[in-house]
Amino acid sequence: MTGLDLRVELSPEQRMLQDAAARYLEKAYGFQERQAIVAAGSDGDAGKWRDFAQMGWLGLPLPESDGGNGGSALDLFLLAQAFGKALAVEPYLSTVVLGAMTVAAAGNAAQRARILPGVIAGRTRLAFGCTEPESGYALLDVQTRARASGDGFVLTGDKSVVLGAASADHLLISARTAGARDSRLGISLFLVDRTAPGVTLRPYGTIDGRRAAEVKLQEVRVGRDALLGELHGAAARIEHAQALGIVTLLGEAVGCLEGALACTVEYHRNRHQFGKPLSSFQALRHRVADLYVAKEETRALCLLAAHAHAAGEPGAAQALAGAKAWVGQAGRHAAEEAVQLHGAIAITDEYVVGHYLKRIIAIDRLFGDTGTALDRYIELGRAADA
Amino acid sequence: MTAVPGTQQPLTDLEDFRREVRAFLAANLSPALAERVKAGFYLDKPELDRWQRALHARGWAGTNWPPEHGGPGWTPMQKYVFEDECAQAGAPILIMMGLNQVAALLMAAGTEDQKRRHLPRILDGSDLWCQGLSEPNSGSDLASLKCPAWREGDEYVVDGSKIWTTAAHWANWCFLLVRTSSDGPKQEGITILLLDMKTPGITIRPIIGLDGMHSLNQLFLDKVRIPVSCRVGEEGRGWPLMKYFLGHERISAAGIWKCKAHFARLTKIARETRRDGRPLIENPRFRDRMAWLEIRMRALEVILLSIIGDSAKAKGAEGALLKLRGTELQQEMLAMMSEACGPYAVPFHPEVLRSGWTGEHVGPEFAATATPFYLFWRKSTISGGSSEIMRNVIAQNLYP
Repeated sequence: MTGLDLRVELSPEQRMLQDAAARYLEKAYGFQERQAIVAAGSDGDAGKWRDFAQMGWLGLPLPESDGGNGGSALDLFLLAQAFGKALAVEPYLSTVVLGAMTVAAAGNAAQRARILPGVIAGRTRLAFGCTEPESGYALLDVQTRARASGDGFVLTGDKSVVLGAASADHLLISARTAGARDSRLGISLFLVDRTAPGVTLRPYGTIDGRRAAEVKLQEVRVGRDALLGELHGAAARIEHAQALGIVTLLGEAVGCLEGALACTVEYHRNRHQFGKPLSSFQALRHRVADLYVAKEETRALCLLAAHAHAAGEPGAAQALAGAKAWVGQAGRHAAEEAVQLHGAIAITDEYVVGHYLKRIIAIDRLFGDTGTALDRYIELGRAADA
Repeated sequence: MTAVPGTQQPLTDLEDFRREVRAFLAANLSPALAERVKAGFYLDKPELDRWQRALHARGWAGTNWPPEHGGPGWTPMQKYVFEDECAQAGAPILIMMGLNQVAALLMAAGTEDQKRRHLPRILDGSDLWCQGLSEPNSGSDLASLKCPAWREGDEYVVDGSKIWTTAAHWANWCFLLVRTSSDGPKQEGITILLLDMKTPGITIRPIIGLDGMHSLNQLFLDKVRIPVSCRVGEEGRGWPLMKYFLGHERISAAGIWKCKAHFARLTKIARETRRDGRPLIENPRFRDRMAWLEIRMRALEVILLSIIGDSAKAKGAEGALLKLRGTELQQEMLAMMSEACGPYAVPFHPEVLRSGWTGEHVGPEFAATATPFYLFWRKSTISGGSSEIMRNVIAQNLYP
């Protein structure tokens, strides 16, 4: 891993963001309340979403010229860390990170003006439909087709596990406008109204309490103004969205491990067995120590990756891949340990620790799991050596 | 200008410093010696002494030392850069007990006379120190040490045994922990003495390691008489002083710089070794393990840099984490170098490791040292606070 500055220091503003996010979520997003939001079956809580807007979080990474706060990927990471610890289920990733950031990067002035103020104010939600039933983790494997027709395009195809789709006002849909199924060239992005004729959704909850849907597009007509960015040239946009999505997921993963460690320590302090608190058994203390070590290693790698991505360092892509692989392997192992260290209570839906494991699993299966990420890590390392 | 965390030292200065270190290494370190160090060959005492003299001539012998005692007065980041460059270049690794622990202890708690007598000779390499801490029955519970000492006039009489003493057979001074009182808790009644190794009554028993080599010893002290003027601190008050210095070892024992040097060597070996018709590095299982090692190593380096210069964290959970994982990583890398030897991991030729050996080796060159080196360093997770003790320290911090 070369081309990296390993010294990551947070600015005073970033520490303030961290504190504010932790304070708000601790107060307003307790586990019981979170469970109630999940049980309600809607895509997050409307009141919380308004709070997010008021605190400036919905515009945090968006450019100032579009009314956002111009925050960096590292800022985004820090906010996501707090979301992860609280196990928040609001569609922040889909609306702000994948959706709005792509609109800001690829959209023309009219598109940005139409979409972004609503996102920042909390009125507009977006979803990012770039995976397909047969694409696996290869976002450039696109079978959905868009053919030019009259003054616009007609889209047909299937998108899978689209986070936040059912509550989104607009869907960002990747479609092939030219080239073979896995060709890098010939992919275009379209803004599609979720309620447009020909769009059908099969919504469901995810294992980690979010909402997602299978999206079917059948002869969906969109105007010329629905094309987001260059015709045929969306591959780099999609990859950039994916990288920023990974930064966000890494933040959530760190928050999850912080939460998993904290609740394990707390539980061992209070739970008595054989007449003693669990925290007095050395066999258990050592495993909790290992949990701490895994949390710290995860934090270091993820923070490094977010920092490198934010700074545009040459080693950033490899750092992201390494951290993503790590979260899926060591992060998952740590979350499984946290479950084991609690005993039976941990395998119930009513206790928090199992939900950290579920979120970690979901994180691993989005944008490339351990094996995929490790392959990429190795490939990028070779490319850097060559 | 970007500043380095904790030190406010401009990065540009640090890069200048790195160039200075490289220039020094290029001028003073012979490629042949560097190759032997990287391969894990043992150096003899004259070779180590020569290197210390070269460092001393440049004013760089006591990397931790403040200028008033003849040290370079480096910031933690400068020290880190220095160690990193030395490891990458294959500079000899000195025996640091005197330069690190003993010097720090004397600077903090020694008498003026002790400082005058010992510090200059530690710095210029005239004296080599060993440490008499562990005992056959003390293990990880260092404070349980028993080696009895009692006062007779102006002398202490010491009658006991110390074990795992690195380089005792080369040392001319020994930093000794003895028990002067058995009343009260075990932490009380421990006294620190400085022992001249020429004193009558010392017997050194070599302990041969799994690598077939001699670096460890057991010391037998048979009514050895030590002047009271060689006591550091008050009688019976040695443990709090010791405890203060023990934690400091952890970050250097983590040896992130060592990990990086090992990884570079492992990469070279994996590229050059052919196995099953392809370079070993193309083997998916071997390659994946290397990728994980690299990722884990990076995590540690980021953690190290985030606490550098913060001595509370260095002695707390973070320092323990670095020691725990850093030593595990080193061991895994050494194990993989041994694996890369294939069947040539089996021949055992300790004589090859000794300085001055010129015969022909069996198998690939790296195989001569890879497996003995792997075996020798099984100690890294045991000495300097075992991995189990590190987990205790972490747990102690989690349940304050």
